Amino acid sequence: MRMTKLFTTFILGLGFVAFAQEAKKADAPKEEKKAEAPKEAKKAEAPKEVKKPITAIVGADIYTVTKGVIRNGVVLIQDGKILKVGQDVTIPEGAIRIDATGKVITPGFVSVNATGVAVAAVGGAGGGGPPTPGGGGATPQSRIADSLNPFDRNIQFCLANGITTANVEVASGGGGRFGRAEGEDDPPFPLPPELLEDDTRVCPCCGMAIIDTQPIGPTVPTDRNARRSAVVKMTFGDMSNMLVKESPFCHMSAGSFAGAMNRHQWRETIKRAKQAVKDKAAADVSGEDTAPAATPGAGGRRGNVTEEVLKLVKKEIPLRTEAYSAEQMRDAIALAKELDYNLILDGVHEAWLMAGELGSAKVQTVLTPRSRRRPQPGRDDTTGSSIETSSFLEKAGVPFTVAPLGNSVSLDGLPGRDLTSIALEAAFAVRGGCSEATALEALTIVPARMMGLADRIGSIEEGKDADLLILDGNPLDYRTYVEKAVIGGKVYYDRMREKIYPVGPRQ
Amino acid sequence: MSVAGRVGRVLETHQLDLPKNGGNCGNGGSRILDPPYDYGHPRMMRNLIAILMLATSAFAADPVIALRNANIETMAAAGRIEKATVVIRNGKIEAVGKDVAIPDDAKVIDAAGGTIMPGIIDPFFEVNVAAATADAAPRTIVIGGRTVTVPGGVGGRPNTFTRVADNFYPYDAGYKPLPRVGFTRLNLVASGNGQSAMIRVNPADPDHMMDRADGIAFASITNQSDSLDQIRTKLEQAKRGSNSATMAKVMAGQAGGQMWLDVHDGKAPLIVSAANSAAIAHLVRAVEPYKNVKLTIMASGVAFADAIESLKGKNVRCVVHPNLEMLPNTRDRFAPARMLHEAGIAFGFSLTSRPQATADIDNSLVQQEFPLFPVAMLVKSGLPRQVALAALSKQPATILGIEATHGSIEAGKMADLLLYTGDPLDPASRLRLTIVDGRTTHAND
Repeated sequence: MRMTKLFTTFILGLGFVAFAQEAKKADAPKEEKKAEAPKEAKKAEAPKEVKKPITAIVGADIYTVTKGVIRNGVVLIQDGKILKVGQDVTIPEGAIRIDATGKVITPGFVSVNATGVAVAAVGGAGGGGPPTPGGGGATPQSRIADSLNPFDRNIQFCLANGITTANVEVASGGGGRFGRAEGEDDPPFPLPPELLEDDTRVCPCCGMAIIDTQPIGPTVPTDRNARRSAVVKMTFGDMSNMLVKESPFCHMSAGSFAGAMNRHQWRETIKRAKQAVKDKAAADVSGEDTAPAATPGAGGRRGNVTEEVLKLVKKEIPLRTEAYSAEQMRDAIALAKELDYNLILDGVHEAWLMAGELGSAKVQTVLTPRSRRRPQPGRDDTTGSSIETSSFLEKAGVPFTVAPLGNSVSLDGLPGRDLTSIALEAAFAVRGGCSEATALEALTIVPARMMGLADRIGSIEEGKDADLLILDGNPLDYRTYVEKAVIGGKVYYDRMREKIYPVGPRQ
Repeated sequence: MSVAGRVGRVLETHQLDLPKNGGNCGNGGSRILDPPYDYGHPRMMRNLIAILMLATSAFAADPVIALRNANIETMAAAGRIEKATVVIRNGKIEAVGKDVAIPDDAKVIDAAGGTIMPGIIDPFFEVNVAAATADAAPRTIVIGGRTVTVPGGVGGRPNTFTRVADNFYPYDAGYKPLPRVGFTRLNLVASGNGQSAMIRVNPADPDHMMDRADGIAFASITNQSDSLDQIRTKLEQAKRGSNSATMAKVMAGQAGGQMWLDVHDGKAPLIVSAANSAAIAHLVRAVEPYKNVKLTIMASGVAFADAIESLKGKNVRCVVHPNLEMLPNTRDRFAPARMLHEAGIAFGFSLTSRPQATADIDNSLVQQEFPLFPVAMLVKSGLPRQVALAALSKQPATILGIEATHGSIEAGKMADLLLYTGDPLDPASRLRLTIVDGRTTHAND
């Protein structure tokens, strides 16, 4: 029967990298700990090396990202980690050999933006009775770990396009006078931000651009909440090591800083958070249990000092927000300098105008090379987007990752079901003038650093997670397919098996 | 219960004792005595005396039945016995076998060419608790000049504890056609979580339908924290309860507290409906630390297909519908039951898929001439016959923890059985007799 065949191939597929699954299952709790303290775990496992089976992938050109390209190299994988990479690597006896001659190996791609992948549930797809209202999926009330759906088909689409790790948004930020309340569902078809926030409006009668007027009164201050997201590995069907990290950013909407009153509110929030950190430190010294203000949410509904904000002021995570025009970016940089936190800016349409400023302010960026913003008459510093932004950023040393036009699995989206994909978005960055190496970094190590996971993912280095792709060509070529996607040493996607993309050879 | 009602019912039972239809004691399900009764009639008088004698032991008065010349699928160690006899006395099976002597007082039914199998037990028969009470029905109200229709009440809320027995409505028309499908026992569950009720499928005798008012623990879950917490917090509490007498006392005072203590200790089973494949994976993960828990998962075949790896080798039973479904993300049909069987996972069938016991029933199943057709099709397409038959009776009994008394045809077990004119899985055969606790609930002679 087909089912059995399917499972057999699946099991064979697993055997391909022949991971010691039993051994892995046996110390499953250990694995979870490892996610929290990877460095410790690494040390602890070093002496065990001899016993666990080793897989060797040979013959491929290895794009390590951080250590150049190794032609015809060898990758050794053991216990879900990369054991060795190089040309002169001796393959230990008894190692499982995988021939990848003529193929290309890159680290698994990392996406900073995803929605509706792996976490939103397909509610009510069966069961005995009517589904629970809400149909499943992540709600602000539900913990992310409980909302994971390892059987989400979208995971396979992501893998087919090389994404092995993604930061999945599970709840949009709420608050703001005209903003959506916390807990409200995402719109079914999220529009790209530049469509929502495009200020290039045209008069319907005469076709002239409408120039914005300043609002008469200040914006009413309201609390803004950070968007909730979590870093999830695309381990299809396997939940055990899926959730990597919650809230890698303090992700606030641009509106959180719009207007004097909102900015005041934000300053107050940061002030309170810093005080809370200080109180906590003092309490730790004096041996008291908890300082009252250190508890997240102690500030009440107003000026809520959330866990994210506390981490932000401790510089454990950066602030992430959207800024499209040069003016918006300058504002964000000034605020970040004043309040002292790290900054990631999304959009950055006009970054080519001020790449130097971004570089000296050590801002990291999320760029969508294909996204467009027209020059706007009447505003001096609003000059629109440029395909060359990527090369300007590269020259100024501003790290950038790429995001597709949409965050979900859709046309133009994350792993678009047309042939657009995250790698193709990076190819557009190359089109704009940056080097291929930088474009590949934009897919791998840069987002890994942004999320604070550079010690685990984003490059092919000894000791890192064995998250890699076997590709049939240059990663930035539009013709290239992902042959196999490996996460933690296990094959989770095989082009010949999933049949998402054509399986036949090119003529 | 009015006296008149009582008399009417017992009288009916008594009258059925008279040999009729070749010894069959079928009542057709809905026959009542035609008023006015002539109490002056000598025969009626005799009946009344009999009633008085019978009143204390209504069950004991059930006739002794011997079904002979039948092929018996015992679902027990004896396996299939050809041309054998079953003797039923006092609601129980007295004897089964080839060389069983037929007692003198027995009504003999010749079942030549027919097959006897244990009655069908539905382990997950969902009832709409809200619809069973009038005040919870959808109603229209007027607020500020606007007419608003408010959906039906209490039963709809998830995560609230429902003791199904408290809401059981035996007069529901939805139960009436079930004997002719072959149902003998149902485990009634509702939405949300709570305690099920096990009933005998004997709608002609509504007062005696309730078998176990204190049924087993059930819940419906999806992959959300509050949903999963229904299971996790209860098991966590019960774990503490099993370690501390004080906690056990506190729990015993709560609704369903004792039940969950028993679930934790493995003394009572737990049945959970999972909304999707992810919910199955989360559920198995949540229950895994509790080694004694006897978990049964109800889900769609698609969900099982996705999550099958997380079920293999686990102490878990499943409940599926005997349907063919599509493999996830494909147009390929597959048989979920066969998949579970090949993965070595024990399962039972639930033939019903929606809240059934309501007046506005969409009961395509019972309208069918041959309700076991889907099961027969599974057998034709490769599911072993014994596995399929067991999934109708023995497995559900095991899932519900009543396998010592139900689910197979053995001496000493309750007499829940079906007599088919031919093979139960042959579309040409018909269900001839349904017997529940020794009483005939359906006869088609």
